[in-house]
Amino acid sequence: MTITHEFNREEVMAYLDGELAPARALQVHAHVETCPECSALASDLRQVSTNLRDWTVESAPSRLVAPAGMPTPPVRRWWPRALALPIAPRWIAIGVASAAVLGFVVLTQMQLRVRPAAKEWDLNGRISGSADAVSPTRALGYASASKDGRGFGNGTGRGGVPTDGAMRRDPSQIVAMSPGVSLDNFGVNGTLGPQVQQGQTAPAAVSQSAQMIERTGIVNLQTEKFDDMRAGLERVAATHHGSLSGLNVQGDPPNQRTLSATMRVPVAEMDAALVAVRGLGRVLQESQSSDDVTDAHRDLAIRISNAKVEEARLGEILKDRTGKLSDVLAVEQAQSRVRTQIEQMEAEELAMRNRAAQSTITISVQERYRAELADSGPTPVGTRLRNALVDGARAAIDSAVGATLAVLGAAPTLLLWTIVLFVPVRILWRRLRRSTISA
Amino acid sequence: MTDDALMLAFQAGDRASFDALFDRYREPIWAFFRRRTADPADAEELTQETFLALLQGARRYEPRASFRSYLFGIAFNVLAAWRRKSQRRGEVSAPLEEFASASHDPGATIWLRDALAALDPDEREILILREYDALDYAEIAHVLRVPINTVRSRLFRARMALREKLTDEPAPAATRDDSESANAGARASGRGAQRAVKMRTTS
Repeated sequence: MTITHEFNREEVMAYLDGELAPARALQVHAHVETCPECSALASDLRQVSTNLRDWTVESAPSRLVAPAGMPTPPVRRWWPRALALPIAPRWIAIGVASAAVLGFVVLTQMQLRVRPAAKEWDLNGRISGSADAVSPTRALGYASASKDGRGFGNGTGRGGVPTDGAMRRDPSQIVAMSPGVSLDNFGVNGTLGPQVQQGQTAPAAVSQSAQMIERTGIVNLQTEKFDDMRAGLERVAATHHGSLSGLNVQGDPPNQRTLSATMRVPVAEMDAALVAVRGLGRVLQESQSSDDVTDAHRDLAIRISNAKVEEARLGEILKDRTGKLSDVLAVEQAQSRVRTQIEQMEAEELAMRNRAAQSTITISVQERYRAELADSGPTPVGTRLRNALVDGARAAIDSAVGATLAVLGAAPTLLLWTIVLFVPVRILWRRLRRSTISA
Repeated sequence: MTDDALMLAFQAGDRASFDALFDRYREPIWAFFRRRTADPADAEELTQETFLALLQGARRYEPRASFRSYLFGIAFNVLAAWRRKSQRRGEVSAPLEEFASASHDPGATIWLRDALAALDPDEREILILREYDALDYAEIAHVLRVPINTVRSRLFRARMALREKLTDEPAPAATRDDSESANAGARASGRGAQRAVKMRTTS
């Protein structure tokens, strides 16, 4: 016969130990009374407890007395009382706090990577900014053209031009510019003065004392007479022998309109042009900058000259046409390459001269906003509300995605440092607990 | 007064309340350590240390759980620290090596020592706390920092293991003390009769 047990054996034990709720205890009692199996179990458990009572110990010695003293002040906690949690949640809290500190450090480091600002002239003519402006020479890629000193022998002047007037080149420079050409085949001796003197065209000479400065200015204006702004700018450009380029107008009335334009005027007219532009509206921001491209231009001119000399030399070599056909073809290819380089450099040199000759003023104008109650314009109110809702939803999604990306970006680092710091923090915590308990 | 009330009164500056608590728990704490140490001097020192820790930590006391579990929790931690220190000194003892010297009647309890020594250490500790220190399940769970269900299951396993030992053990040897021989015989015969009880069969 099978008896259905409503209670497991542990519950019978708990009933005997008085650990069950009264109602449940009554049910177990009633079952035990009627179930032979559970009754036998209860009997066995009682017998075990009876037998265990055989183990007795002597009474405490009489010299064991209560310690003297009164309660000592509590140990000052170094953590807030709110963090006095049981062990497991405390560890979780410590781990989360450690991860948050690490995350703050990582994100702060990422934010501190700021690019230095370019050097600028302020309205009083002083150089402002905390970083050096990019060197025009470096910007043009000619940083090593004249400063490495190679190939110019002794007595070189500024920019590498020999003081005795002769153009000398290290033969290895010719090889570097004309790959495939072997010096051994054509007996280049490295002195090319006569070739230059025989009529090679030199680039535009730059006086040692003349400076080339590229000047630029930025002016932001605000005006109520926005409709007159375009005509005003054109008038200023014409008055100062300049021109307008890149004119762009955005916005519809009554919404705020903006205008951006680029004005080119001769360098000598720049200051006067700026004064005239300022007079067209209220100046919100103005800045000026200048780049000295004298060295860069000189380097470029020298490179052009050297390239032409090389081109001439290669031409002379081709005239002789001695040597193998493959060598001749190599020289022709080298000459073509040098010609291409000369044309590129001459174009750059011309652009540089033009920029130095003509200053650039970037102008942006914004119309002074005037709110209108009537007629909101071509966009109905409903459309604007919908647009605002869509923009808001998009911004919310972007912010959520951004936050998720930030978390994912920092998560591996946070996880790594949490793992690394978990064991030592736990050891430290245990020692602190032990010292607190023993105190 | 309840234990919590006495403790709070001591917090407020009533020294007599602490003495009352000491009198109430002197024997139980002594017995707690006496069953777990071989040397009575160690048990005495650990008991003193426990009450000293109770006194010094009185200002931090909060009646969250029962005072009983709080005090036995201190005792348990004191014991754990003492055992760690002993291990560092190289004084490692086998489980319940101290058992034999604690009992009044070694001959009658050898089987009990062997049975308890054969238990899993965690199960043995829970059994001792329940059977000898008279802690309830919640207090045991608080002292050992385990869930109540774990206490119940481990206690049941320990008792079942002892039940098996009880049915398999032969009668204990007679003691050398003549004055106790009758008692030993009575106990032996009683146990023999109990061992004659057959284990139930499943139906």
